[in-house]
Amino acid sequence: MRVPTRPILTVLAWPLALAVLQLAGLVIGLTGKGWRDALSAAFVGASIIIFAGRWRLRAGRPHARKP
Amino acid sequence: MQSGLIRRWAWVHKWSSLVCTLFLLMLCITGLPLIFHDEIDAVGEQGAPVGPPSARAGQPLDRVVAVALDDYRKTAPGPGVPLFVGFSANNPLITVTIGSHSAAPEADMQMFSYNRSTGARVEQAPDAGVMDFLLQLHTDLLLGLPGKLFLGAMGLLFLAAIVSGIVLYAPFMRRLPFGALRHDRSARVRALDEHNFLGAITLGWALVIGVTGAINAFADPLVANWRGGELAEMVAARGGAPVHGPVMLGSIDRAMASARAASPGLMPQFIGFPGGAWSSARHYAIFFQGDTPLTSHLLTPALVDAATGRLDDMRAMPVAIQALMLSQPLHFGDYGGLPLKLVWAVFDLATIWVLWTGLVLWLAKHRRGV
Repeated sequence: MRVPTRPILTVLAWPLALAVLQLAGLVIGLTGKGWRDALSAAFVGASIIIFAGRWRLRAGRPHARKP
Repeated sequence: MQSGLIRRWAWVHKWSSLVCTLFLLMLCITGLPLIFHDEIDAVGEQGAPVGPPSARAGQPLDRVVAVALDDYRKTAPGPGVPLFVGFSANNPLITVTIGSHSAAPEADMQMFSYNRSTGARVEQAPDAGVMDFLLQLHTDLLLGLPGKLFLGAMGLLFLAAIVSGIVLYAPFMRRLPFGALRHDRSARVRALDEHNFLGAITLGWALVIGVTGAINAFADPLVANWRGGELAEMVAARGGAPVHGPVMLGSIDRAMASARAASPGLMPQFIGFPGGAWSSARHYAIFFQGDTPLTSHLLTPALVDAATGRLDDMRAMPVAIQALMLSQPLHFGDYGGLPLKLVWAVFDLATIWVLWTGLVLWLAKHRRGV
């Protein structure tokens, strides 16, 4: 699973992008109801989709756990 | 990053996390049901009256307060004075708080609830019990202001743990892809990967929770400062007019009408009566709120002369107090509808797992004596 050494900014790109998306979602939810609520949940919840995707990949791989 | 620098950040991450972990676990666990307090409260309020919100319409306020004073006299030895009227933005419930005198302590106050549409008395709901207990535990560990300030300090440590965590994340993940979950490695590596991945994808949310939690913890002194400063300034700006006695209070409806005329689009949240902690000796202090999740947490006080019904002053809250008010929904996640609340709950559970795996990793390292 190792990849070539990456620059710090590249390593932090995903966490920071998701953090910005979450902040935007949290603020949008404060500004009104209806579509703003939906957008808010989608922006904040995007991280959960990403986690679920990675977890599924992990679960789909053959298990060879070491003690 | 140099290894010496990494070691220093690791030291910050380890100790800032360890000191606050147990308290954060408690906060995450008690915070989980608080996200859904509207839904849980609604289950207990199946018999709540239905109709136009009391903040919008209903029986005259003078009549509601007069009925409340009558009800108070039936149970108390003295005549009593009104202290607060509270409105609802969702239903016709209106509350009137009465005390033996205008500076009565909280323990001596009695609250009466009515249906403002019909004027009928509504039996006060019993304390929310478990939810009240959880809220108290979450906000002040049942210890009042010292507990709040202590939890505020834990919130600041949590922020230090997040910042140091992200600083350490960068060098440790340089040779791993984002979201690496090495299931084929040891339990320690699996816990490390889950800790790093979940910590990274909840970064923005956790920062907001930490910052707003710390702000909320220090809210009481700030609100008291605003109440004693800005409101006192509003009162002082009206000059040294003589103080009214309780018998000189004019119509509350007239006062409300003149304040509402100057605040279209806003609705009243509560009225502080003259002489009380939230008003001057001669004014009805009517606190207005907006009707969006954003503006419903921002209060706009209006001072109305209790005798003449003239609006004397009305001004928005200072920016710092507005930020303080907005930090409440941003901390508790009780806005944005059920989808956002469910997402909030998942983030809360993810944070519990980050805390737990952090503890497991520290224990494993501690046992190895490294």
